[in-house]
Amino acid sequence: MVYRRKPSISIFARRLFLLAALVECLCAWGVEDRIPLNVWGMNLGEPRYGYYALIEAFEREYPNVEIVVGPTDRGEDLQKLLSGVVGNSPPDVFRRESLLFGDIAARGILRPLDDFIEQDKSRPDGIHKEDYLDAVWESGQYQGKMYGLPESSNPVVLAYNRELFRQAGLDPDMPPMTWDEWREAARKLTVRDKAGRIRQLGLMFYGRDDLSFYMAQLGGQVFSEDGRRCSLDSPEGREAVTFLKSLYDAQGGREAYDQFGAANTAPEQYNPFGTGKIAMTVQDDWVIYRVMRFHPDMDLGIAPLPAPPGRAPITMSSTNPIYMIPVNARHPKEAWDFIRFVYSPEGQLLFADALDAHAQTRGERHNYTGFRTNQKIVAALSEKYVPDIPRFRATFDVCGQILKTMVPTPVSPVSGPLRDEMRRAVDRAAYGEMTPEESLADAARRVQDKLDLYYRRETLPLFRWGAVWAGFAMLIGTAMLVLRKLTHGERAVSTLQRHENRMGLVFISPWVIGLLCFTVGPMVFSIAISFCDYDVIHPARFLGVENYKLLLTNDPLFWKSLRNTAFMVFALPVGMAASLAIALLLDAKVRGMSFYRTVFYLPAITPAVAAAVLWYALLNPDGLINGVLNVTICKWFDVAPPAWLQDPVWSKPAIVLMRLWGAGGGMILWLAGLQGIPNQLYEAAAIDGAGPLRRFWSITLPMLTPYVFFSLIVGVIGVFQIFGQALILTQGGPADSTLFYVYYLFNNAFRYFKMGYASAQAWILFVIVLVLTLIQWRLSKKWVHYG
Amino acid sequence: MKRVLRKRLRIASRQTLLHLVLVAGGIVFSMPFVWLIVTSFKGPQEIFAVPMIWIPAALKQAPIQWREVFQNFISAHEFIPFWTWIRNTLHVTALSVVCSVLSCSFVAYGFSRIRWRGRDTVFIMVLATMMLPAQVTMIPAFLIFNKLGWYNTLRPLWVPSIFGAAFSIFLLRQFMMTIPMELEDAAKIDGCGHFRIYSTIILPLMKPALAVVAIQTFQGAWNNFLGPYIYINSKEKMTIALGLQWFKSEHLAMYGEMMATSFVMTLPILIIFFFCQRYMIQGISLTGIKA
Repeated sequence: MVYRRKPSISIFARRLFLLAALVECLCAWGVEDRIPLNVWGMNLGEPRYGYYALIEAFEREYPNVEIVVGPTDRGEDLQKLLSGVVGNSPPDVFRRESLLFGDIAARGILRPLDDFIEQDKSRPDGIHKEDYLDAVWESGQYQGKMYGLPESSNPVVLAYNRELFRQAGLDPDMPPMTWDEWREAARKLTVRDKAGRIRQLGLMFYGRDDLSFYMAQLGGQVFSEDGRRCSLDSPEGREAVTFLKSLYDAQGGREAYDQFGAANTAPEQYNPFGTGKIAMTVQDDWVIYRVMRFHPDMDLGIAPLPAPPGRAPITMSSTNPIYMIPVNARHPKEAWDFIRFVYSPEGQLLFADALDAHAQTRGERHNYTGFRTNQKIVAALSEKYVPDIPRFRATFDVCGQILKTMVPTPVSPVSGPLRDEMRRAVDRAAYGEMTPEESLADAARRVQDKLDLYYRRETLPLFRWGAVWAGFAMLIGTAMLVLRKLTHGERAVSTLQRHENRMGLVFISPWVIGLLCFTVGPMVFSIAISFCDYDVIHPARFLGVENYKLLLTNDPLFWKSLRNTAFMVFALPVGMAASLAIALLLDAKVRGMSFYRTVFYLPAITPAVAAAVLWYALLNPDGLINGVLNVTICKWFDVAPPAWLQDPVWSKPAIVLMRLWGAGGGMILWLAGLQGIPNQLYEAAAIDGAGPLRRFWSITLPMLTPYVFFSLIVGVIGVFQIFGQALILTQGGPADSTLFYVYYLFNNAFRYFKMGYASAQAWILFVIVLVLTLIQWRLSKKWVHYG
Repeated sequence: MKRVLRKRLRIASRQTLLHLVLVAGGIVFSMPFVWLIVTSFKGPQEIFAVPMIWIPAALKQAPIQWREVFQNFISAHEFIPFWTWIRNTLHVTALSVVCSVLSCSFVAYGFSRIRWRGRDTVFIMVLATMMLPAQVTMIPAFLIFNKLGWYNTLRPLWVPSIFGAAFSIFLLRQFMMTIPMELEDAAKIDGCGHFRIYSTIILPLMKPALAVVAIQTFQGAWNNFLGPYIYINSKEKMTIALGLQWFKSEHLAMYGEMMATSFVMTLPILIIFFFCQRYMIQGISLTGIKA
């Protein structure tokens, strides 16, 4: 008998592989006659029209360079830059808000710019220190070297609604000057309805309640002179936290503030400050531009931020974008050319012109350019672009005065953790979870730990990789021996069996290779670095069990993330029940079932980023869900609808709700299970007179137990990996209530560069999952029914 | 006669009731997605308007302005290199699907159709790897691909599928176990080797299960966000799932455009699911999850 040679799948596969290789070649092939200059982090919002104009002009002047616009910033992790530098595929120019500048600079992944600045000394369009405010120039420096060029000063000011001041009987020309006056004003300007809900808020921080600033107002510092001690728990720190808490309390407490504050997610047109629902805000000078553009009728007042008694007012940058060049950038010279070009008066004028031209296509003007860091540029721009309406012009001039009192932003190798800890310290005190002293002591200790680790790492012994590789080799050797033993046994069996043994190994070889390369190898590596201090850029240093010790004994966030995840585990049965209910419904025989099934399956195929944005809109306190609640449950029982993602109590239920929506994804499995139940069972039961409920309890459910078991195991593993929602939707907030295990792990790895710590966390996760699975396995013998 | 009529009536009312429940549930479940579709036709002012706008203004005009209706689609297309990203996504998806269907079935064959000593012990290891959180290997895997010079290429996104995925291997193995062994005896007598049996006898019988693996891999690769998020850093290498976040950054929120792109991007999966869901369910049902 001759087998007909059908074009088998393997031939088809070979063709596909050839095709793939061809595609790969085509992708790699491309004639480059110009130098591609990768620029990341440009603001691709409306300013993109300015940047496009700049790029065009630059390419005209430097015809051998082509600008390639790369990713903008997302969130606050530096994962892209870090992996770009490590992967030797970094951008040439990196523009970034200053928040994590210290972390980046301290890691030695930036190229110092001093030689470029020196070399351009005589150039009129060069970067000259004298053109800059000292405070601003310092925020681009780390340990005496210039690593980044700050673009914009963005002084933080008190912006207030003069009309609301008048209504409350306050003098709009006499804004609060001291902390006490400020608190009194906030109290007076807060208006509540009968149910106690805030109708008008006295003061909104817009996230600008950074502790370091209020400490600086008191003359305190976040770090000691040499930068090696964290002094968050100083008397100034306590006073600042107590004051911030009292500001929240004056307006009815932090919870009420959150309830109201959730509305700041609205687009500019509905911004509550612009529409007169907030009396005072802490923002940077761009508030002038936004009010001019979206709320031109509002009576805006600008004043310096109130100071503690006996102190002169100061200000700080909100976030200033900084231009940097990575240490292994391919074209540093061209990168500098670009930075210099963008940052010349000519370039900035071009930028402003393009933005204005674009605004004019809408029939508007874009005549606000803020305060660039270069004073010459500010002068050049303000000849052409200043607010033309006198009262806005006056606010602009006030900002100009405030700018002169600017103090530098602290630059430190732990500025990322510092920022997070300061936020936590204030939040915990404001929510009343801890006293200001406790809260600060805790924050200071944790920043100190990170600081110590950073300064101590040089003294730690280098990690010896030899032992790891030897261990890996031994592991593979043992595995092979075991396999050989398994396949060959004590004595050789028949030739046929030996052949079968060999063939078995041949067939599973792809999996074995994958296991070794992508599972066992990485596992060994990850165990090794979990005992190290490792940031990918510097060689690993041996730490012993310190990572584990720190995690288990001295990291409240670790436990918090575990508790948050446990909450989701307990919510798992709800999701499973929902999936099963849907599956039961969709198992019925009605016309158009494939349509219904598709509808219920929709959520499972919505792209993660889109789903996150979608739910952000739905869970908005003014969104669809609360809209429905407002006319139903909340109306019947006369309660306020929850603020969902803005409320630490409701944020996790909100995510449960979101996952419930995706329950249709699990339905496929249940449907398969339902269809696997033989019909005779139901028929027999029907003859015995069993009703539908009885049939469900006695047949369907027992027959489905293997599926219940399977989804429980997979579900628990899945819950421990919840990540995307936290990353895109909440960034772990509010008050860490959605800081899930893997999100915290990801933060440690890619935001704080603590790969060793993150690996230790991953291994603890593995142990947890393993134990849970084993327990379930044991218990399953009691209730899982294999038909 | 009367009894038949009553029975018919009962069935009909049951059907109507079912439809009602299904429609009600469907409305609840599709509401967010409907919002997505509606939003992709909205102007920026309408997106977060309170109360919610269900019919975008552009659709209400008397002589309908098609350019205005599809404004978000047009400006999304101008803002991102849509076709490049689609090409990248297709590249990754197609290769992932082909590789994992082939390799998983190949490995599953080794775990089910060949009787070799120690087979079941090794198979438990396959199941055990399913428990290992991806985060354990995420960082080292990054370093490995980086050493290979594959950072910022599409390869880290599809090459792992050459080595099979535990869940798919498990599924296919369960399916293969249900195929009677006698089937290949004739072929064996004729001197066919395992490769021949695998490609000419087993594979053709496996279509429903292969479809399940193919569709699941397709969906996973098409919507993969974390992989590209870690490995891709240039605009010309991005996939569409990652690219969606171009519409939203600190200073920018082009929600309308994002929803329009999401809508377009979801369509292929939607269509595939609509036509293949029966095979998917059948495929899993036939294999059985039972160990």
